Amino acid sequence: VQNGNKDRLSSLSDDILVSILQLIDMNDATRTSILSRRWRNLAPCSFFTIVDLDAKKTSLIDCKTRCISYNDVKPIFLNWAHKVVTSQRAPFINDFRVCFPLSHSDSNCLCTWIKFAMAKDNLTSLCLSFINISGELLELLLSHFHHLKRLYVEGSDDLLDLEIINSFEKLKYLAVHRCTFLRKVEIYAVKIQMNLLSFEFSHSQEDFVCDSMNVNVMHCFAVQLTKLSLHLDLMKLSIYGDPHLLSFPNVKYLELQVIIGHHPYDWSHLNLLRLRYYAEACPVLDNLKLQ
Amino acid sequence: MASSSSSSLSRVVVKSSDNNLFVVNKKVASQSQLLKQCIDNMEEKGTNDVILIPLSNVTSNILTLVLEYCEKHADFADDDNNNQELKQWDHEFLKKFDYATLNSLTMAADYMVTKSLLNLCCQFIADSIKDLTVQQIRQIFDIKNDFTPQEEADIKNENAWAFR
Repeated sequence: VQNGNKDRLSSLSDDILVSILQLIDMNDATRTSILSRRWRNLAPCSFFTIVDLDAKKTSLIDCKTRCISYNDVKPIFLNWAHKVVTSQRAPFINDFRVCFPLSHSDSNCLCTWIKFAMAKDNLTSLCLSFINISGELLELLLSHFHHLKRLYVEGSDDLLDLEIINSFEKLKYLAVHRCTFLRKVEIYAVKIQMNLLSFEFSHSQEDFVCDSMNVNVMHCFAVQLTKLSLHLDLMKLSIYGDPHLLSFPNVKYLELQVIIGHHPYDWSHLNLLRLRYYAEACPVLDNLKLQ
Repeated sequence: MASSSSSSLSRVVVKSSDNNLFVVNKKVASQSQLLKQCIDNMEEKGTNDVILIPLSNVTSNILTLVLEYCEKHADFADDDNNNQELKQWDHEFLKKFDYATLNSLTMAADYMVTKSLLNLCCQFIADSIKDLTVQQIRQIFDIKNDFTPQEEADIKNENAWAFR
C-alpha cells in the first residue's frame, strides 16, 4: 500500500477506472467527470454497453413533483440524446432504451437513434415506450436484430397489426403495452425454428404480455409459452362471443388483471365466469394471479 | 498451497516483491495468464527444473489473497462460470477487504492477468460507488478537485441532465 495508512482506492490505472465506469449507470458515470481533470477524460471514452435515454432518470425531472414538463426540456433532452448517441464508441450494445414523447417533427432524431441501434446488430434488448412505430417498421427493425431476446413496446398509437413471422429465434420476452389501436398480434414460427425454440427455452422464462383484448391469433408460439399475462377490460369483452383462444399447453403461470367498469343497466360485464376460458386454455396451470 | 493431488513436477515457485516464496500447483497458477505464460514458455524449452517466477509488483500479503482466489477457482475450473456456490464465495471473499487492500488486489489481478478476479474487483468497486455523492467518491479514490469554480460550473452545465 503506497499511501501509508490511508484506506483509499488511490492508485488504479486509467484502464481499470474505465472498466469500473463501464459497469455503472451512464448518468452516474457521466457525473464522475466533475471529480477532477483526470477523471473528466475517463467517462467519455468509456464504452457504455447499456444506453438508457430516459428523461425520468435525469435531472430534467422536477425533484418535488416528480413531473417533467416535456415541452420545456425537449431541446435539452434531444441535445443530450444526440451527444450520447454520436459519442458512443462501444463495439457492442446490450441494451438501448429511449423514453420521451416525440412528435412527427422529431423523426430525424428517431432515425438517428434507429441507425445507431442498427449499427450494433447484436442488440439483445429493445424497449420503445411511447414511440409511434407501425407494425411494418417494427418488423423491419426486428428482422435486423438477430440477437434480440427482449422486445418491449409501449404506447405506440401507430401499431395496428403486429406480425412476427419466422425471423427471430432468440426472442424470448415480448411485451406490448397500451397500444390503443392494436388490432391483431400474430406470431408464427416454422418447423425448423420450433426445434430451436424448444431447445433455447428449456431453462428460461418466456413471457407474452398483451393489453389489448382485440388480440385474436397466436400461432405455434403458444406451445413454448410458460408465462402468460393479460390485462383485460371486461367492458370491452364481446358480450356474446367467447374469446377465441388457443390452448397453451405449457403455461404454468397465468396472470389476469381485470378492469371492471360501471354500467348502469348492463351487469353482464361483471361476469367473471367468462375468465374461465383463459384458465381452461392452460391445462398445466400452477399459478393463477387475479387482480 | 496446492490442494489437489498431482505430481511434484506440476508445481511452480512464485516469489513476491518482499522475497517470500510460494509453491503453487500448476492448475492453480494457470488461473493467472501471466503465470501460465511463464510456465508454457518454460515447458516449450523443455526445462525439468522447478520454475521460479518473480513478481516484482505484488507483496506477499496480496499474493496470498490472489492465490487463495486462484485455488478456489481452479477447483471449479471444469464447471461453468455460473456456479452459484462460487459466486457466493467470490462475494464473501471481497467483502472482508478495506479499500486499500481492494486497491492492491485489483492492481495485482491486472498485473497477473487474472481476468475474472479483475472483473470481480471492478464490479465490486462499481457497486460500492454507484449511489455515492461526488464528495464521497473523491474521498474513496483520494482525488483532489483541480478544477476552477468556473470550469466546474461549465462541466455541470454541459452535462446538466446527469446532475441531480
